[in-house]
Amino acid sequence: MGEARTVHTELPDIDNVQVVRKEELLERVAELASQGFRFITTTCVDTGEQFEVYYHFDHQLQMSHLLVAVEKDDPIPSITPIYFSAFVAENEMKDLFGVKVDGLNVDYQGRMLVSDELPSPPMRKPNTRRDGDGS
Amino acid sequence: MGVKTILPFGPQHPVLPEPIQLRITLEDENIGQVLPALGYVHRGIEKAGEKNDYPLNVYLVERVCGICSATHGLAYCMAVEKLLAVEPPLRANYLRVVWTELHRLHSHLLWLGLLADAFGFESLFMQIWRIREMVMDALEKTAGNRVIISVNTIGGVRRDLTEEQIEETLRTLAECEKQLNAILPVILEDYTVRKRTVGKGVLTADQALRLGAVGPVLRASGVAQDLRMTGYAAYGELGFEPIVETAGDCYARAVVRARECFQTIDLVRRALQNLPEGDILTKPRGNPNGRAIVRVEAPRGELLYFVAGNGTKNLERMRVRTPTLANVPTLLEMLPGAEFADVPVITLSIDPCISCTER
Repeated sequence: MGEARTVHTELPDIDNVQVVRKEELLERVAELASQGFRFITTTCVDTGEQFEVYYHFDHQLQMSHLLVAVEKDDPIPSITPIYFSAFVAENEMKDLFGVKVDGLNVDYQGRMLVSDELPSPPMRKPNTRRDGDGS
Repeated sequence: MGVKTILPFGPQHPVLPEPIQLRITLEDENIGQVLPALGYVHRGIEKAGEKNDYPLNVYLVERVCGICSATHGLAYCMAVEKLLAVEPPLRANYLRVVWTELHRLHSHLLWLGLLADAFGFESLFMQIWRIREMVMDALEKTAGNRVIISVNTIGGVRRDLTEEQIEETLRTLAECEKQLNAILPVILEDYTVRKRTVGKGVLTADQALRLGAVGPVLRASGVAQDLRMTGYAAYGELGFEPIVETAGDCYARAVVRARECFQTIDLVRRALQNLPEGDILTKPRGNPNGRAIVRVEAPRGELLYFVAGNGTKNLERMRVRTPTLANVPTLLEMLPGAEFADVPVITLSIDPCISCTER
């Protein structure tokens, strides 16, 4: 079930995280859904180079997490076909970080929380990747 | 052969203390599709959490929600304590339970009052808020403030209780319990109240889990999940059983919250009576590094803090998932099919806290 996480090993870290590729994300989420997991939320962390997107799930008060790392301009698939309620969390990532989410069931076009006047996603950090064009 | 109308419910509506808009598609009196519009009170608290020093964030996160500020402070402190490997003293854990539960009590009373107000029962609303005022006074006498009490700090709590304060709080709780016992039957057994709430906005256990409902909404649908069962702070020592109802309607949600008021009074009483002696603070050292998640049970349900530190005094990321954010999608299934007149009560039944939701 996914490769072991290698970063941050010497530091306190979140238990029960599976790193998945974005292509297999929907498959993994569907597995969790069939096992009766409750979707909690997503967390996007902008590391400067890329987005690390956590998907948090709960089963009988035990948490389980999926972690997808994507290039900043790479779209990730929406999990709303499986967990309808994820539209709130995914729209929020879109608003605050400018994460591209493909296939959202309710799409606020990056304007769910923030106003139309805001020029760019407020929590997105400058791209630190050397070959990047800086976003 | 109904006529389709799109009606905006809110952002300003007598039943909504805070702004959220529901765009409701009506077919005659019946509700079709519902779409929430958020963003009226977004304050960028997650972003501010990256700019502040990490100890200052305790006071920032208390501003996420005025009603359950102590719970936010507690969750954030627990997350940073995890990263710093700090264990708060036992007495601090008990005191944390006392203040968190007092916040739950006044939050539930606030909601019960609003529920009475939602179906136009003004005097009941006033009566319940009068009881709530006693809890606010107890908070002020023990913590110095009524709402944003700032008692939590990383490694413990900032205030201790004297014997007199403990005695007085216990007396207040006894009076509270007495008055609640007199007044709650009015809410829960009244013909009109039942007429407005029983069978309205039904959510089955399957639906609730699938939609990610939390807190009293989930427990009213028959799912026994309460984060206090995991025994954080002093809940493990005090012992805790969740309160569950099975009907899943607005009435069941009111009953869960009403019963939780008594449970909360009981928890505070036991915490105060068994308060261990000792320090109230373990001094934290260093800066947080690594990643941690903490979940606690806020009055409205599961509250999640994700904290990522990078060894500096500023955090790399602070994520807050508040309970109302999880409960809003349930409205999208509870409202369709209901009558328009029931929208205020059903919307209120999730105890929406919009400032929490948008942070």
